[in-house]
Amino acid sequence: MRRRLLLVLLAFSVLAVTAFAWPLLVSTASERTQRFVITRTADLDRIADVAQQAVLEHDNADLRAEVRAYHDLYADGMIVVDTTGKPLAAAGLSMDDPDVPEAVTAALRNQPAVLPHDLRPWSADDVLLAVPIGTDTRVSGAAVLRSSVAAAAADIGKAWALILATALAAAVVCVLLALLLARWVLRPLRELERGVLAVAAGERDAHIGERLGPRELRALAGSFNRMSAAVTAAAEQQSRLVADASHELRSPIARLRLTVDSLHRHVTPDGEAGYRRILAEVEELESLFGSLLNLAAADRTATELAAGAGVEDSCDATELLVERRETWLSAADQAGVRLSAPESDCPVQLALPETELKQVLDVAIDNAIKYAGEGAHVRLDCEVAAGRGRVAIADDGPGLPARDRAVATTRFWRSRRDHASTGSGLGLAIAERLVTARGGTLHVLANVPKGLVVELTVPLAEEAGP
Amino acid sequence: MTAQPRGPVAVEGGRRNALRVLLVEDDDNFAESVAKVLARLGHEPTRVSHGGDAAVRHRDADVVLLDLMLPDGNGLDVLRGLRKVTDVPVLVLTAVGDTRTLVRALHLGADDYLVKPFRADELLARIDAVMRRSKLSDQPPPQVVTVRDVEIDLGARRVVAGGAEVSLTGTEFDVLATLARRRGTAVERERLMDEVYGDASRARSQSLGVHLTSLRRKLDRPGLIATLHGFGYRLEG
Repeated sequence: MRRRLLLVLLAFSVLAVTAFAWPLLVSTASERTQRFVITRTADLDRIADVAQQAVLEHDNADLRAEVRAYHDLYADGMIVVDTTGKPLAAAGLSMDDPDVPEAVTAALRNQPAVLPHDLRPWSADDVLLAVPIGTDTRVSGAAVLRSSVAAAAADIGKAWALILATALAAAVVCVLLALLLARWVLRPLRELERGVLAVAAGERDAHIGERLGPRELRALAGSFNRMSAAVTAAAEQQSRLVADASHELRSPIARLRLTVDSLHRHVTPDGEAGYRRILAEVEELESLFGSLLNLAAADRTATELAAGAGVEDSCDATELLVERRETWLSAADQAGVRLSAPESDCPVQLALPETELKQVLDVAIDNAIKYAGEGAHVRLDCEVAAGRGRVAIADDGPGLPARDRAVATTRFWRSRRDHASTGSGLGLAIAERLVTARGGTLHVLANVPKGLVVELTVPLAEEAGP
Repeated sequence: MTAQPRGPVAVEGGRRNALRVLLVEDDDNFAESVAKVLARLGHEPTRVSHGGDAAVRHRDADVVLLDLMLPDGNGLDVLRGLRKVTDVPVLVLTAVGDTRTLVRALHLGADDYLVKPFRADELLARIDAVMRRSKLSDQPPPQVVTVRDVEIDLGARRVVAGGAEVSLTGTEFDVLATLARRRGTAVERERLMDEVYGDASRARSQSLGVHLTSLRRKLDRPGLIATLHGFGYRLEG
């Protein structure tokens, strides 16, 4: 927009300056040329009068003196001839010079003088002017003047230089004005753009200047600031709600948990089943609550990252997979699932903090152990592929139909086949949020020949320096 | 500061040592629940609700349970204050589940942490573990550290697991030995790198990961080396 605005404004300025300067240049040149011709013609007329006198009195002495004096004074060549073309007086010009005979002939025929073209600063050719001697009816000779245009051309040059300099100055002023105007209009727009980007990136209380530009844009900036404040307030309320819920809800759940634990001694055999049920419910409550907090934290991290909070943290996927396998081994054994770690020790350094990859892996491994079924084999693997790190948690269990795989990462989604499932339905949603916030992807795919793969691709950490 | 043995006390789980536990917690109901659990096992809980009181009362305690959210300030500040004057084991209890806070607590010298809600037996197990480590750390490290069926001979630089010698590279042994000397205590990643390599650059961090991976495979004792994510490692104590 700035380029177009400037282009239009500049084109207009150039046009205006040209329209003003061009006629001025032409008229200046023409006026000076006219003055040149008039003065020279007047000189010739005077010489012609003297020549007429000389013809009548048959005495050329005065005429010759005049012509000589003129030549000495102006350095212009002049010749006066009679009707036969015989020179009566000459100085600096002869009948042998080019164009002179033609000029004499035309003058003797009393043809109107051919006026020269308008002079230009670079005109150098001498101008030939001729007038008849005598009256209109009785021509008794001709006077020819060859005049240098140097002085007139120099005058025109000076005048043109002045005009062009003025035009240039005007053009510069116009350009400056155009730039100022463009800046005045565009700065608030740029400011607004910065503000919108900041809000989109999750910056809190993004504020833009309200004193710039036209009134309409100032009003817009004001509205934007009010909107930004409202968005910030809403975001703050939301995160405060999460923080408050974290504190207010954790404590009662923690009390409940401890109390239920200490009741165990007093449970009679009859009440054992009910007690187990309560314990399971409390555990589910804990897990759901923990997941909600994790999701809120993942959302917050994503917002912070989008706002440009660069994190240098990285982790080695191989190391973490080997470590996580150890941690999950007993759970896998209990479920009758074989759990295997990557075969290579080769590090796969991902641009993802260790704590986040751990969270993602735990969700995927937990799901695999829970749902792959007894006798299944869960493989943990990672590699560098196409410049990105690829981590896969693959099982050879029953897997999921395609339409379930597509929605497995949506919040609160639970597989319908697991009616007794105690999951919160948030695990994969949290995992996906964590991975995508770091520029990665998380997909739930079908394994070959059967089973499920949770596959993540994550940007590699920058090469560590020596 | 070590646990004061007070003779056998007949309680559940064969626990013999009654501990004086200082509970720094502002939530009355929660404090009461925790106190009941502790008292049932023969421990002697004392409860204060302000961080300021903790600074005064820690002398009479064998272990401190510290809530990070306190009415008179951040529990982390209380922890910093405590660490200036005492080595008493501190177990951080928190409703704040975010890793950054927990890692900061570890950096400030917390011995372990528990995120609410937790189970009663988990609390007791953690207290036991913390006390055990604190006792170990008071003694000079032995020449041979034995964990489960793994013997780490620090002098001879040999490791025997389940009766068979495990062949480790020099760096792998250095990593294991550094953890073994502080057995049961979390060792910061940077500190581990510094002791093994003499510097803690990013390239070293990668190579440390590779050595730990291979160490785990060679030892094949799941859970022997625990990772405290975002902080460091700990050899089972």
